[in-house]
Amino acid sequence: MAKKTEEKIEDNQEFEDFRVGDAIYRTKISQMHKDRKPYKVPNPRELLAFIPGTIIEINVKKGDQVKKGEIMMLLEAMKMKNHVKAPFDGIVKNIYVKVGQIVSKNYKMIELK
Amino acid sequence: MSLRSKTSDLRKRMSEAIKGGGDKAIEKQVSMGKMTARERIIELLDSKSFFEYDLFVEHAAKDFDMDKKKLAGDGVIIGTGTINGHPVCIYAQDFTVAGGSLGYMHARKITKIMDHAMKLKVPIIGINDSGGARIQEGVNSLAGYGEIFYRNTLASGVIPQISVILGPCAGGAVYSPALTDFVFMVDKISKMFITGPEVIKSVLGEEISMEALGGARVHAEKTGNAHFYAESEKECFNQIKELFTYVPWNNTKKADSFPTKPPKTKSFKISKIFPADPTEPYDVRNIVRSISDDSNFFEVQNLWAANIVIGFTRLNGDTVGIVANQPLVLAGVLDVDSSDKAARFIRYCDAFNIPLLTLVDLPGYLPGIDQEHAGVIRHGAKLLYAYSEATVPKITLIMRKAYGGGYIAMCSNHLKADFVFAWPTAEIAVMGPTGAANIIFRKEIAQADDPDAVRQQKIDEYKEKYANPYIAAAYGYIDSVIELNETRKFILHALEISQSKEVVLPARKHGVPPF
Repeated sequence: MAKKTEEKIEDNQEFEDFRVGDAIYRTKISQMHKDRKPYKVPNPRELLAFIPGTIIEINVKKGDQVKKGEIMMLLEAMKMKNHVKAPFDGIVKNIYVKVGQIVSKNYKMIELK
Repeated sequence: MSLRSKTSDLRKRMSEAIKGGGDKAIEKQVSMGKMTARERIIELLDSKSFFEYDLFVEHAAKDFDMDKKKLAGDGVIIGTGTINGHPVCIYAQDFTVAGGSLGYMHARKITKIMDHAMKLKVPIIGINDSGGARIQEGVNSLAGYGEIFYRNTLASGVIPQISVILGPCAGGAVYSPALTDFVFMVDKISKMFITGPEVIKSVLGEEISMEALGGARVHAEKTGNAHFYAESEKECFNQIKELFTYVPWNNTKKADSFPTKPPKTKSFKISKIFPADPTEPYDVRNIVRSISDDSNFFEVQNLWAANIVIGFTRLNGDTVGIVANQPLVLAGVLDVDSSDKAARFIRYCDAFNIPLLTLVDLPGYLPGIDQEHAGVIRHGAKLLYAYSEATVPKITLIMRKAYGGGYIAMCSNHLKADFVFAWPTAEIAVMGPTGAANIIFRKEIAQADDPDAVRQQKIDEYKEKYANPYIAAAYGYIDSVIELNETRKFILHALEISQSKEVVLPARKHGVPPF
């Protein structure tokens, strides 16, 4: 067993500089660490799919005025029809999905202004 | 009927049942590169040691014309035998019989052998190769899973539980392996997931192969669900046999003792492996080998969270659990995954009377938004909990860096390590010299004519004064500062005199660890 890890982390990779706090260490960087996604500050005007699912109804169109709490779309996921509500009073700036479209988690569905 | 005809009738019944799903299904199993369930048991257990029970069990399902179907042994083989001469209970799902699907009687056979294992206080090994719940049996197959999970939970920490995934293991079925101590998987044969590629495709439109979703490599490297990865079933069985040389047969026993042998110091010499410069990497597994009997080390979860190393070795012939920061990967930092990995292993060792040896060399916790948002606080706390709660002998060796929270977490004196040794290269301080100097001497650095020069001077002063083992030793937090080549001697002695260690924890039903 041990042999395989050594093959993996010693033969296939170069040492790199890696900063932890105030010091720089010579070490190997794991793939998991390299693959991590950078943090993005969430934009409250963009509504992202909070669960993967299918858009089954869209009640608004571009330019519509919406009131806080108004149901703008239905996102069906896990046998539930989830309400996509307006988080504040605003105007629909853009809609990025169509009825019947399957969306993955965090897919941008609608933008308000 | 005469005795002879009764005997031949029995033999006929047996030979029919032993065929499982029949020649065609067996051919298909073999063509996938898989052994049959019975072959697997025979390969894993000591030669001629296997005794089978419940061969003639039949399913009790009536709906969907199931009453017209006969399923040999209801798709699972149960029995007892020995490994390395010690008794074990075992079950193996037979994919050739209705895809190894789990119905009510199938589950009853598994729970029967699990109950045996608990009564006899011997390990239970489960070989999983099943399409999942037998849909025709409805809620009864769910009941079967639930009964298995309940027994897995009660057996946890009492008898060793080994799960071997040698085929699909999908949906609810995955939770039995997840509740057991060690999960073994084989490349291209094992698959584990809650929702398979088909469901993912229909719900999300995302395409992924079974192997990429839940193959052996994924679980060994990415999810940490598998503890051992093998390239063939045979290699996998050899890993299980080797594991059983290190673990006791139940929680009231100690693992087998072996004749002690000195380390192979020609190949593993500490002074050649170990760089004194705290920023230079080395493979901590070679430090383990430089002090262990015959330089042996049996690593667990070697592919996942490789910035911490866990595994078993022998010192003076007896099993010891190793937890070691690995400077080779991510400088040996603690993070979410490495904390989880080490914490669970510590609890395993504590449950099964295996002393712990902790090798410390880490810059601290990995800084980052992803880590904070992934809950590194909760995960890191598991390590503190596991070490504090463990009452087996705990020996710690601080090799180089032990800063801040990392120093406390890695089985420090304060979490009740029995013995803490440090090499003269150890640096035990509240934080690294640069950071500490920047805070303590902030004013002086800012007001200086040449701040950089003053900063460097202050850093050097701090390093000289505090980045060593002697401040901690002055408070008695380090029991002995030792020379590198004295390490094995000190550790062997510490283990020897800790043999009848007894600690009584406060009475409670159970703690509430930061799971």
